[in-house]
Amino acid sequence: MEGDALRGHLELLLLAALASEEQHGYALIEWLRTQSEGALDLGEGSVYPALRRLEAAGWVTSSWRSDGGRRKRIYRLTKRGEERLRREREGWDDLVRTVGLVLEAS
Amino acid sequence: MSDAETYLRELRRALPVGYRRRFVAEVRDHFESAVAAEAGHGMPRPEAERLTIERLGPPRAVADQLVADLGSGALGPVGRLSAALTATRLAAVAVLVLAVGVAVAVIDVRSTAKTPTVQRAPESPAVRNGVEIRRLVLTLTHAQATKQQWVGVTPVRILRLTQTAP
Repeated sequence: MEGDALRGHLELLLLAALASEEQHGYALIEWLRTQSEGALDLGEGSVYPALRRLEAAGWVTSSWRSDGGRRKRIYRLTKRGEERLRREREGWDDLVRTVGLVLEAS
Repeated sequence: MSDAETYLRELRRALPVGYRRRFVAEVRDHFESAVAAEAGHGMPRPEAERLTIERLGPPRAVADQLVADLGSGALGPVGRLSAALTATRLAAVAVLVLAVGVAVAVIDVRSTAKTPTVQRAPESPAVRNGVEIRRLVLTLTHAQATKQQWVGVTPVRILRLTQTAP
């Protein structure tokens, strides 16, 4: 699944990735790739701007952390982010159910 | 300079002021993480850097995405000004190149007949939004009738050619 198809769902994917554990950008991208069994082909350059947007919205927070002599920006979900993820997940479930009904009827 | 450093330098230039330090630091860590991961699979560093660049996409596109994702409301006053200046700077360069090209062409055509005399009027600098604007008038005198031709307007200079044709 390539970038254009994923762009509209990137927010949901990032929130879901951070719901499992706090992560830095590269680890988050790798986590999504692993969980999708390599099917998700994210435009990696779009992930960092998206994370910043989620932070500006108050859904994630971040801080620097030293790891093996390197500084990493660690992202974690906020309470508002958890609520947002819940609503996004409901929206996704509705979409899948609705599209499924149409496809099954065709 | 490595491909990664070149990429980071271009990214830094493309980003709004106030977002450069942290964003570039994050992408730098991304490079280090990605190169280390690929090195674990036996890939040489230069090749791993090129692969990472391919996955990240052009630095200008990444910077534009950041501005678009945050929106003008979330950028803050410094970021908004910087983003505007970045766009203005690009437009200014384009206009300047066009103006210089046209000016060179016009001067070249005029100079084929007679060599004009050139007078420079006193410069009268003005300041608009921190940019110094200088008005420069070049007068090309040939003999009798007068033609005027505006050859270009740039944020830093206004050029006007006044020609007295035979």
